[in-house]
Amino acid sequence: MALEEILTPAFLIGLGAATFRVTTPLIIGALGQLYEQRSGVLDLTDEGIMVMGAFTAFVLAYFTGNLWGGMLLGAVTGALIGWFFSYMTVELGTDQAVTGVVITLTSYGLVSYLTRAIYGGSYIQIKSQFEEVSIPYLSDIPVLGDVFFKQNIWVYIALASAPILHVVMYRTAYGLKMRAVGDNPKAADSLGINVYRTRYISVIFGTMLSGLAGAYMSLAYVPAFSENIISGRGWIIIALVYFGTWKPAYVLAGSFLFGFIEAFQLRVQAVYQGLPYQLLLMLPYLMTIVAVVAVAKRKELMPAALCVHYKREAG
Amino acid sequence: MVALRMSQLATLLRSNGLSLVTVALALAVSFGIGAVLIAADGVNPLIAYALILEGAYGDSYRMAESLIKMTTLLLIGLGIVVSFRCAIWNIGAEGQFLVGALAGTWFAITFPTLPFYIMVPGVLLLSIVGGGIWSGVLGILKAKLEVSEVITSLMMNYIGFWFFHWAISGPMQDLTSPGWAITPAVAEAARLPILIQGTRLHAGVIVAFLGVVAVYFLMWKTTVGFQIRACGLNMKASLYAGINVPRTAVLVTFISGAFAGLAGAIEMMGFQYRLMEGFSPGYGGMGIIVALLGKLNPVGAGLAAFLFGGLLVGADTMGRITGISIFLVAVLQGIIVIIVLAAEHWKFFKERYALWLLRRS
Repeated sequence: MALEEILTPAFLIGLGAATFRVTTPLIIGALGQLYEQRSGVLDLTDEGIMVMGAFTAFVLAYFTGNLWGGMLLGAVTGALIGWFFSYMTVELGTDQAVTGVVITLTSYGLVSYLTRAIYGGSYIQIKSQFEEVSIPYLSDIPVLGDVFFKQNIWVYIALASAPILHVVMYRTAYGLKMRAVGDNPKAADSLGINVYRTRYISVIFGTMLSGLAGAYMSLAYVPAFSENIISGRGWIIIALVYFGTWKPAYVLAGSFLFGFIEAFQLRVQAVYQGLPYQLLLMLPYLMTIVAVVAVAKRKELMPAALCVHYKREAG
Repeated sequence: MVALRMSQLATLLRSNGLSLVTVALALAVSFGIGAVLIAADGVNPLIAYALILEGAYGDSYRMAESLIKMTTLLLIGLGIVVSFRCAIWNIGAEGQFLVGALAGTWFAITFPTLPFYIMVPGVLLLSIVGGGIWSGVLGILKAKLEVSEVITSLMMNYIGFWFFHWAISGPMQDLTSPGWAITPAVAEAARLPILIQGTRLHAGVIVAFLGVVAVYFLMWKTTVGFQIRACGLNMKASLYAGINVPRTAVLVTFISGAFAGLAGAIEMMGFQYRLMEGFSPGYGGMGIIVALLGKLNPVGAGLAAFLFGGLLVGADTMGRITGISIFLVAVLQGIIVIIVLAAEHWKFFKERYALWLLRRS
């Protein structure tokens, strides 16, 4: 089956709609990670937090049927892990990259263990998920209606949050403090900004969003849980912040690009037999490398104190 | 003369005593949390831990199994020791392990009739080069374009995994088992000799020990090793001192990938004799943890690998009897390292250490 035969209108409409569904967790997670990185913390716990968020949200929803409660629990899980990560890296001063990776590895182990302990298996389905919400009138528009206005509620929430987070970052006092702390913590400190508290807040906020993104995966994206549910999205989210050169608008655009590629790869896999599916599965990760290489030389856009522990010294 | 040696030994013990205390604390906390997890699954933790211990070191067969696991973990960990000492955060060990094993196995399957004195070096060489290149590419990107090695190495894990999967389900697939992602078993000539009859302990364990010596020698007895450590401690100062930092970065990523690839070859030639889905149950991540727990020291990594190898084997045995999932090990490992990392920075320890230094001077 040739490629042209696949690109039918029906396929493209489905692809458009799917792109939004796939991009949503990336948006949520990437904006959170953006806040963290802008304040100077490179948070490699994202992958681990997402799987923990997905798991806790799933378990709650599985046993109580409460989807919103599940999402909340996912966010809380993320915040708790973020608080711990913050304690280790911001307060104690352990290396951010190493600590993040270790927390992620531990999270994966914990989730795999608990999945088997509770369910006895590694792939479980759930009966309910966040259903599509068709926006009245708008969803009746041909083509556009199907693509834009028939999504689950979290798609709309994620899209709405993007401009809000942009405003907070650039037009509020907190946003200014956050950016100051990420670029020059010493100067910020001398101006009376509490570097530790600012970083704590941005990390916990960012990890809360990651937990939420993870919960989305198991409650809205697919009505199921498996330990492979995240498969690297957490890392891609981190790369997205790099790719978006630490600006919310570009991070949003980058998220859509990656969401599109993933949605495309998923749909093509089902239809096109010409390429081995493993090669298609590699696409998002290859793209991430390309993306990071593409912005590599623009180091001046990076928060200057990213990944550097700030230690308050006398004088 | 003897007095001098004794005081040196005393200093060594005292300065590392702090590390031993933190490791002991880490073990205690992690086993405590593990006990909670085990109890939550309805099993008596004391029995579980006893079973782990017995399963790991209970008899010579079990001890051999632990040493086999140690071999793989240690080889990967050694590479990461080199890389992390240079402050190059190469997290791609999993992908390098798989790709290295793939390269070596390709050689063994493509030329199955070679005699062992060509086969074994060939497999080893290809694995080392395969793993090295898979990792070295990232070093070049870092050196030339300042690309973060953390992100690229993580991505290469997934790319490597799918490449591996494609190869063993496609071109290298065992035609006698259609539909399975598995390669044919390699010829006898490509299998490492068993060292102790009645066990599965293979010659790879010798390679691992040699690796410890090699890394120690490299890092502390050669100029290159000094440069590597210097770059890790202070990159700017090293640049000013005339050290070729970019070239060191490339070298270090290649070395760490080479070790991971070597581990893959040894695992295949000594233990599995073929590649299949699940060839690596996360050895890459465990190797990182081994290196960290070993305080980025080859001997430390050896001890950590021995501990974790035993933990894996013991937990597997224990799991068969009690139904506790082996992923408990991953949790225990992670908690141990987290505590060790945190303890290094805890004020309590810092103050005690500072006081100790003051008293000495």
